Amino acid sequence: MEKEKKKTLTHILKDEIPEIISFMEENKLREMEIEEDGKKVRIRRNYFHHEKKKEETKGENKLSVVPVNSQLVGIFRLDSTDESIVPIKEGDEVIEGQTLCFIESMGLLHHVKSPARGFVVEILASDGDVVEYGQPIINIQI
Amino acid sequence: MFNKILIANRGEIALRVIRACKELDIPVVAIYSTVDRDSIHVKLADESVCVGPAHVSESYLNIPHIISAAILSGCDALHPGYGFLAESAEFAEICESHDLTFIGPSAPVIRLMGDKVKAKEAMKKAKIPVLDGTGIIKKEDEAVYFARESGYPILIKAVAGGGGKGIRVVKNEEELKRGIEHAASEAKASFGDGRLYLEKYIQDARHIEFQILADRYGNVVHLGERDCSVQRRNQKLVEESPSQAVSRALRNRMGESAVRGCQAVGYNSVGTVEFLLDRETGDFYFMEMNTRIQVEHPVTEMVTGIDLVKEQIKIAAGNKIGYKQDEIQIRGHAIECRINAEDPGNNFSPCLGVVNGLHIPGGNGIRVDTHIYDGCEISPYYDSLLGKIITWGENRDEAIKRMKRSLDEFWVGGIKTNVPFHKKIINNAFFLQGEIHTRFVETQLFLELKLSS
Repeated sequence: MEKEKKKTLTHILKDEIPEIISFMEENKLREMEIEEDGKKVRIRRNYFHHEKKKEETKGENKLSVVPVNSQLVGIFRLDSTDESIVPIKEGDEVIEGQTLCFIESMGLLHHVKSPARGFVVEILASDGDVVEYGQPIINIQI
Repeated sequence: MFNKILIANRGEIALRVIRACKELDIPVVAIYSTVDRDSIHVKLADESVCVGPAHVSESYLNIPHIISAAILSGCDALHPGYGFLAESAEFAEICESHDLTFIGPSAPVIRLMGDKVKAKEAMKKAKIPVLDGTGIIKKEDEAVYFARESGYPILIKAVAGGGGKGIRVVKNEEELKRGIEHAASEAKASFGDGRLYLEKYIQDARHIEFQILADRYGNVVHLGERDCSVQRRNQKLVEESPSQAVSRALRNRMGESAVRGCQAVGYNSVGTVEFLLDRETGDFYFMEMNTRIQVEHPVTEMVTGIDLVKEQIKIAAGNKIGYKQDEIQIRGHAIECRINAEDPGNNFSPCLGVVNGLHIPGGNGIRVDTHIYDGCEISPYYDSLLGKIITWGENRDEAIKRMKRSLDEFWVGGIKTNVPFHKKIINNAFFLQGEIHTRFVETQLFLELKLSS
């Protein structure tokens, strides 16, 4: 960071943002504050799902992503005719036991429920996709 | 012809069906359990669907998942292979109700032949000799009475049994009483049906079965016999065609009986009629019918030149059999050895592990049907059959010589197999003479093993 101190804050922001971001990524920093001449800038990084997944496997992060796998062979459905169930979208907060989606199999719609409280970080299948047994369909961050 | 076929099986038979479909230009969908993800049948199929975890009841027997996989992948037919759902009349019905052609006989025929007592009655009606026996035993007294009348030893058999399972031999009244109790609970556990019947036991008989080909228009032909007398604990080990014990005249008589039996029940697929042949008298008796393609089908393919799996698919698609009985020629001799992952030196206990190095025999007259490859894992969830070596020769002697060298050429690292045991069978003096019967392994072979040790 020696080098950065010599530059103006504007300079840093303009030219070196990519470098700062990669520095943050490498060191797994979610937030960084740079202060110079009474001016302060705080950079906060969006936490991406794929990084979390990587970290999860390394066991270095307390946040974990749980994949929800299909237990059936059928068609993936986000929506149903039941209007009391609002289809989920990425970023939604869900509670344990909440219906996340449906698998249509042999003409029946089976509810897929959230294993825990958390956030929907990624919906891995598209509405109408054929899914097989064990296929990850939704990632929940808990 | 079909647009796409789902293969509801695994292992070497799944691969066998894939091969037939490729030759018929029909795309195939494989199913697999989570532990079979890297199986060769999954790799060679055009599409694949995971239907459940390792345990068979949740994957290869999971009817809703299998039917869903077939419908969603756009299949119009399903091949059940052998084992698993191959002889389930209920499954055949479910397939048909979802507009999937079940590649096998129609459900009522499967149901009839699956009930061993009813099957015997149907054959008796068609004037095919059956062994003296009882109907379903309701009281112990009935069993004791029958046994006293006909004399020991007696066979206790499960109504829902088959494929060598659910059979026990009893030598006296005490064993009979105890046997009935055990057999009933065993049959209940294995087949979900504890009903039993008794049958006269023929000592040292030959197991002779006839391969049948029947279409949906009443045409039935037989493709000669297979001698499956070399068995261990009612499980076939070595099969050959033709049988040393079957003359041309006897073949015609037995074959004609098998065809008549199939016509009587409206059989309409490939199938096998099993007979017991009394070595003393030359009389034969209907035992049971297998309403599926069998493990040992290549033996018949080798001597007739007919691809049974392709025929089975064509018949299911509504084709007629394109030839008559007198056009079927048996040429030369074929022998099959079933290679299992089991240790003959340790009471044939199954051997699990990873295949580390593999050499498959080859050369003129050799066929090897196997799903194993270098690096594949042999898992404990499924049967121990690794594959089959089938040899063909102009005569039995040449087929045996080719089998001898094939067993020497076969090499697999990492797991134990029954190959050393097959070498003992194939070199046994009685086997070489063609002197085999259903207790050959227990008597001649073990006698030889005792003498040599």
